Amino acid sequence: MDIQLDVKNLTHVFKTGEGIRDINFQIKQGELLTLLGPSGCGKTTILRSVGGFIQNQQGKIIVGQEDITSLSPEKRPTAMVFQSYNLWPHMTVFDNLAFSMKLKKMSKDHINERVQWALRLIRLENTAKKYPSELSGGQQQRIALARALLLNPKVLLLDEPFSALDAKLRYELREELREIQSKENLTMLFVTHDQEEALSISDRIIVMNKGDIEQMDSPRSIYNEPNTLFVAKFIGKMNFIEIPIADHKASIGNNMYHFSHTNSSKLTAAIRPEDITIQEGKGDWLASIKKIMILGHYAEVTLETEDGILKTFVEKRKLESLHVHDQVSILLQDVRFFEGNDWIKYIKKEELPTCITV
Amino acid sequence: MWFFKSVSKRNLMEFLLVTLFCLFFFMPLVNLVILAFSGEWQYPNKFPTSWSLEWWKFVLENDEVSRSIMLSFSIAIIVTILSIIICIPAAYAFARLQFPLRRTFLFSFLLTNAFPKMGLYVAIGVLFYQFGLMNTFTGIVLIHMVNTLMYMTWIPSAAFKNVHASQEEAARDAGASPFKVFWHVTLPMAAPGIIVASIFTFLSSLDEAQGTLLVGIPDYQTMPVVMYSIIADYPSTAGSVFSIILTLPTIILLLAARRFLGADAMANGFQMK
Repeated sequence: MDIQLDVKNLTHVFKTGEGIRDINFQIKQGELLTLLGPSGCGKTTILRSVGGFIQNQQGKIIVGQEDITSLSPEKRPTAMVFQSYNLWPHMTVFDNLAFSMKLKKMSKDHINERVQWALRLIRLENTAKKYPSELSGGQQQRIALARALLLNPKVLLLDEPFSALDAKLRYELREELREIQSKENLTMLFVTHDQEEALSISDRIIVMNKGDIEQMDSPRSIYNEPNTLFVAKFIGKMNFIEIPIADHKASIGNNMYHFSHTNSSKLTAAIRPEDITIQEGKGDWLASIKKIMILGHYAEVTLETEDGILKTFVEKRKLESLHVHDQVSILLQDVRFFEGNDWIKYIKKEELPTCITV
Repeated sequence: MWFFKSVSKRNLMEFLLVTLFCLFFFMPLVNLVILAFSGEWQYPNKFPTSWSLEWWKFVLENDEVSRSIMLSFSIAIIVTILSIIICIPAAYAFARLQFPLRRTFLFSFLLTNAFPKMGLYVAIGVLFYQFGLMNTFTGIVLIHMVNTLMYMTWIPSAAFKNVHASQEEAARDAGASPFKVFWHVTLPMAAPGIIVASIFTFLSSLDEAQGTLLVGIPDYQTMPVVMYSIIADYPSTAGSVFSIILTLPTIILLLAARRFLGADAMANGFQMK
């Protein structure tokens, strides 16, 4: 597939010291790439650089075959949807949408046709004569999206477009955006700090921290195989246990993990709640139930082990046999270790002879 | 009477205060209007004993008066246009750019309105003598602009500030050059603030007497200046006729612009941001 956006060695450091350092990534035609990270991580800086609102100190931005690094925003083949204050309140929806085409002096019929097409796409056909202030927040953002689409952008840039909306609307618009994206085969660069949003709509995700890329991968890999402790902490729910390491070996409950080389005396073990199973009989580890919190169709169970607190999810049906203060044995399906911030792979997992049964 | 019945004991106090305020506020105006149309009105009569349009005729047929009206309006129009040309770019700069001493500069515009006017005018007058601006049209325009700079900078500056950067950026993104962005997005969005400021500028120029008296004497006599002499030389009826003529443009302009006039626009205009 063709590379639609190529960002090379992009660097931009602000006076405060924040910014981005040596960023490299590519987006394929028709792909939705998300920049994810906490505020101040540089994700918006990248987006604004691609849009042309920041003149970069270093690096290159290439769209298709064209180097756009030195072009001003109005000359770039990109379109941006902002977080809020997208629309011009003194113009009707029609005028908002037609603005770019009027600047290009297109024929009236053509403009009408295109605006109608855009309004149909976002399912707001009857709003053409309204003013932005007469629309709800969600409708306004959809108009903003339509306006960006009417620019026929080679890359569509979205700067947390749904973050000002309430949860339900956010969910709906997310789905709608994904639909439009696949229908129109759009190439998109999406910025968000909401990891759930990123996981649900992206083809690939770049997790950023303090101006650097922590990991670039598919949502599934980002979730299942975080490369750094930061990613593990930022994405989804995760249990973290500090465990001592001696002679390149560390043990969790009944399991001994072997490492080829380690430099520090401590590792961080990361375990997803869903990778912990409570079971009767033989298990990896002994724990007592500290708290059970019902969250609808499932419950969050807090377990206390000799090395720390673990949280897990239990289905409603299995809940009946569990009580607070019960001693249970647990099974760990997947454990990921981090030395400092970096993932460290274990070479061997060994079961110790001491058997744990309840 | 239903009106008084609706006044309960609880809001009696409010009612009295509002009534008092209305009397205080409107009585002089009512008195002025009655006086302007009265023929003969002697103490202790509560109303004029005869009505007449005699003084209206006098004022409107007086050459000096009609000339002063023409002069006042042409000065006000020129002052407003010049103020817009000078202050709108400045207001935009105050709203968008961060430069050293920005707030000090902005505050300095307020200073011209903080001093006792006459002292300031005398100081300026000394300068004007040196530059040969006394008794000139230019001199009057300049002295009027000393007053209007503040309105024309503070209020539009706040209006520009209310245009979000992303609204301008969205227009850039849509293919508009910086100038077109200003013309199609920033300026129309700030227009209400600019209109309010222009009206204030126009009215304050129309109303300015002290500075004009000092700089324009003897050849340039604007409405307020002429009014001083009419009040001094003729019966009070002439004065009240004249003050109604002087108030008329104000009322017309304020009515025309009441869509833009709001506590918001005013309050925003005088924020120190």
